[in-house]
Amino acid sequence: MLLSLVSAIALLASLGCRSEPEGLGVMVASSLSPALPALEEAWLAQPDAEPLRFEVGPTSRLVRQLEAGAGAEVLLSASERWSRRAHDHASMSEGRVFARNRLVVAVPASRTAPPPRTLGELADLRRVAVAVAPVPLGSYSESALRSAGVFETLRPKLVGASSARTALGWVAGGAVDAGLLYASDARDPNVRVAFEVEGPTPRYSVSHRSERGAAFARFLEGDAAQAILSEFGFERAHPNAGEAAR
Amino acid sequence: MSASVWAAVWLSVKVAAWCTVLATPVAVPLGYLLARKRFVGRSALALLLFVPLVLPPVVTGFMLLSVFRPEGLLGALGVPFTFAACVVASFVVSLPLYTLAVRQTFEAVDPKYEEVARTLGESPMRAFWRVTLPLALPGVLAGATLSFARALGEFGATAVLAGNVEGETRTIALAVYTLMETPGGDTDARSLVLASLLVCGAAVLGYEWLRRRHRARLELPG
Amino acid sequence: MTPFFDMDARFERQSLSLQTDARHLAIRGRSGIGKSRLLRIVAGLLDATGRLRVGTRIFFDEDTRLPPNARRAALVPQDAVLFPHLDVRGNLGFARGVETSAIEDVAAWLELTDLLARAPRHLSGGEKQRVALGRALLSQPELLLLDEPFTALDRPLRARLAKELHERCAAKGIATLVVSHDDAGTPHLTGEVYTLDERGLQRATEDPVD
Repeated sequence: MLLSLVSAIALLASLGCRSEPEGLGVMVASSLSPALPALEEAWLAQPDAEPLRFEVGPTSRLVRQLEAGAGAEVLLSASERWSRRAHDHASMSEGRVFARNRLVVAVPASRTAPPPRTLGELADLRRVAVAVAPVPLGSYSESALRSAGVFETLRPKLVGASSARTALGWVAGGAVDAGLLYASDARDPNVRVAFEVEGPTPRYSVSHRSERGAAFARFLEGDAAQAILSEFGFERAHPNAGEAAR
Repeated sequence: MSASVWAAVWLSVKVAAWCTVLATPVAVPLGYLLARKRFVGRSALALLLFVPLVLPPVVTGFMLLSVFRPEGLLGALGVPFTFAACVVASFVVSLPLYTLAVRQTFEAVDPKYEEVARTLGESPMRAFWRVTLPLALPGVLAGATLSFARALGEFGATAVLAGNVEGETRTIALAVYTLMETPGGDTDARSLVLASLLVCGAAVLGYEWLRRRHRARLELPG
Repeated sequence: MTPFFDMDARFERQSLSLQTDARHLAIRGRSGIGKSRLLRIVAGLLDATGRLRVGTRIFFDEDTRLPPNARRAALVPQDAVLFPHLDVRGNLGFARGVETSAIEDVAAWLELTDLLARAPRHLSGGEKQRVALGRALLSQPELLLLDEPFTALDRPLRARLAKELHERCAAKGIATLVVSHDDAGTPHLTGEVYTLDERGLQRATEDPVD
């Protein structure tokens, strides 16, 4: 009887003062997620490496969570705009670019008709998937289409995806005729790259707010991590690997 | 309020109304069967009904997309990224809520009324129409309201199956999502949130009015 | 010549057997012995094994089962079970093909004329029982199943209605099966009396009073 009472109180107490979860909290932009298992393995292979706790999501949401007090130490952002906001409002360090991606137009692998060769030719298709503006992929896509001067003509054909993953799913499933995707996502076997899009280069930057987080940032810029990233279709942060995000 | 705000509100209301109208002839018989009948596959059916309730709506959306994509089973219908896609997505996501509400209502109606009707010469179908359904009406209305409200706020499955096509599939939820990150979009986003609260509030008030009228007619308390 | 009531059924461990040409039966037994259950079996709301034939109609046997709505056996439940969404008139005229004049005739007989527009919730227990009785009678049954039908009525009314119900049923050729509690005193309806106990149905030795 007494024992059960004591254990009940202990249980309540443990619920009340929830201890900090183990490991280093790392927030990761969803488009990086294919490379995460390999990165984690390489990180843990280092002596005395802390276990990692990933939280994957659209950059926009992750940054808003940081602003609201989420406890992550590291942010891997797909957008410099958002990492700046994390710096300004969530006491994260300035972002350092550690990888780049490319924008491509991809078509379903099952498509038999000849693929489009330019952004202008997208106008001949029925439906084109583009991520919506809040998602980093969406703002990259929109500015590429605008600088090519085709955004307004294409507008009625554009179907807005609420995440890069959804856009990929549409192209892979053949629900749209083509889509603007990250080159890294377009490695999916169900899609085929039609051409590479001229325009802004999507850059991933890492920011942190502790020495523990800084260690992970250094790891990402190191050779082992860079090799893994390029294996998954991400490019080195050339020309100056150490260039600060602006 | 800008024109695009009104377009989104009007679209959402149309989607939710269509969804509720189409779901009623499914949810009512299904809820009744689950409440009253013991049949093979009943638990399986109940479980299947829970699937859209427990899955993240985005996953439901992708499952629907695999059925409705051009090479899919129902690809010929040309559903994705149209008004119909909004209705289908909302339908699938809100049907479980509707059916479960209706099921509970039927479970609460004492079968003795149906039984007496049967001994007075009524077939099971007619006993249902003349006795059980009128007695269950407030619960069915509650289910319809719930379904309407759920359809009004549907985001996940709609975002995948219907996309975000301005004027065609940009419902309140999708518009709010888009506006949240558009510079200066806050005002419109707030109007949309307010509008959806108003529409939902109107639906709930309408339900409450119908329920009171019904109960007054039965002269039951409350 | 086969008997009018021909029942040889079992429910759980109770044997429910009776063969008689009488068209008006009263069954007595202490509470909880299964009197209401017997009526539900006859009405077709509950399945028993065995067979039951009433007149020329086979209610159930080894391989057939007549649905309740095809038995023309109208039930008057003990707690009336009026349809709460219908007024007295709606309840009386619930069955198909009931004519207004028939409703008014029955309402007058059951002293319900002033209550026709009233909702069931505003009726006394006795009024409810009368509505349930009228509703069943108006459904043009061949068999009336009465579950302690007059318990909520005062004595003079009870006596009058019992007598007149019997006359009406006899005139229209409606058979009756009434169940009542042991100390309810009388079955109120002329006919053969049976008792129901753990073992089953037995013909009662004493004659009905009243």
